[in-house]
Amino acid sequence: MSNDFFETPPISGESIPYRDLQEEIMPLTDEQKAQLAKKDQNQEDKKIKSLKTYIFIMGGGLFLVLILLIIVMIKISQKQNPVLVGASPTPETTAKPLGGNLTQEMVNQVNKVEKDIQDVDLQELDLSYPQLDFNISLETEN
Amino acid sequence: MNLKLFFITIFISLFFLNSTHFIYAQREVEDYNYQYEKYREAYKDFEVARSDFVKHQTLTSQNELIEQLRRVLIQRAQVMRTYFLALKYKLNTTAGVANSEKAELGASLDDHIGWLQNNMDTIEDLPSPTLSDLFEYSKRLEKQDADYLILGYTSLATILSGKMRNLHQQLLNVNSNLKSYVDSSNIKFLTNWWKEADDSILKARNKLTNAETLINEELAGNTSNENKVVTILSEIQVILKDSQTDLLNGSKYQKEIINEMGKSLNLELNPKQEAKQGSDSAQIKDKTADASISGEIKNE
Repeated sequence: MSNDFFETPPISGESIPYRDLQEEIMPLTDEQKAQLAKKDQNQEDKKIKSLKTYIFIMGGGLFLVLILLIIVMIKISQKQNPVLVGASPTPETTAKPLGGNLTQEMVNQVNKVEKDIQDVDLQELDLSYPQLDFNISLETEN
Repeated sequence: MNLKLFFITIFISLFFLNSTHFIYAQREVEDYNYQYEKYREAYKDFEVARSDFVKHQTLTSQNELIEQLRRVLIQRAQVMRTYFLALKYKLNTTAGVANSEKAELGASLDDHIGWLQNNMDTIEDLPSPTLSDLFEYSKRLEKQDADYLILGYTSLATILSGKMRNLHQQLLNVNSNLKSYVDSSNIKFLTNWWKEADDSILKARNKLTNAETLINEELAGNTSNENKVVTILSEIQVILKDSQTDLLNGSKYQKEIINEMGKSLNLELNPKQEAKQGSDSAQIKDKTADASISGEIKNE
């Protein structure tokens, strides 16, 4: 036995401080590790799945909105202009002659052909037969 | 950005490809006029050299005359060659000229173009020609004068009649398109106007036929009288001018019809009819609607 009073006495099992026991970390077994990994994986899968569903719903919604928008646009373009009835003469009961469904295309056709007929070149002066000397000799005309 | 450039390039290429024919035809005509101008200059120089030679009879003046004569002979052949080329391109680019006419006249023109090119090359390659050599080569071309005149005038008349044929066809198409509008209209006198337009087109067609007969029977077959060829072409031009007047009359009738229909649409509509037309407008093109409208007219 030592006579040194300052020497630290050996610690017996009962004398281990509670603080040290609390901080002691027990190593995990392989089974526990596998369970933990599986749990994490499941959580990750759930997150991805919910994200996919969210994107799918949003995309579908957007697509439907687009379809609706297109339909509305078509409807609007097909919608006839409202008939403007201003301060016009009182409606007549007898039918007046209709001019038929005259289109701008038809009017353009008529105008174009008329202009083409007016502008046609029936002289073709650029292609006049050349006046060449086809009797070249030493004799002069004079 | 690159894609945009690519499409622009494609568009420009297509545009140029499409207009190549027209550009070539214009270039041929311009080349002909340019060569013709060069011939006039060469001929003036030849005349000076000729009078100088006749006056002095020296070897120097003879050599000068030989050079000027060679130049004028080559240039004369060149003018005829470019003239035929211009006619050929014009024939090919004029709408209304029949394919058979293009093929027939094109083949004749090609023959002469080839012959003239050979004539030019031969004269140009002569090492030291004498005056009599050159006059001999000159006569070979001069013998074909009448053929050239007839071919040139026939081609020109065919181009002109082709133009009128095309316009006649266009007006005829417009008139047949207009008929459905006139039939669906309640304005009765429009039918008479339409018939007037049709008559004018028919008159123009008859005159065109006369012109075509003159081209095929009188002009193309006339190899004896050069003056007559010129007279026939003038005659054809007068007939085509008359035909143009008839077509213009027909076109004016069509325009009157359109004006009248436009007036009717703008001024004579009343709310009741507008409402009716609004509901029926989509159906007016439909023949069923046309039939019902014409039925109403008959009932009235």
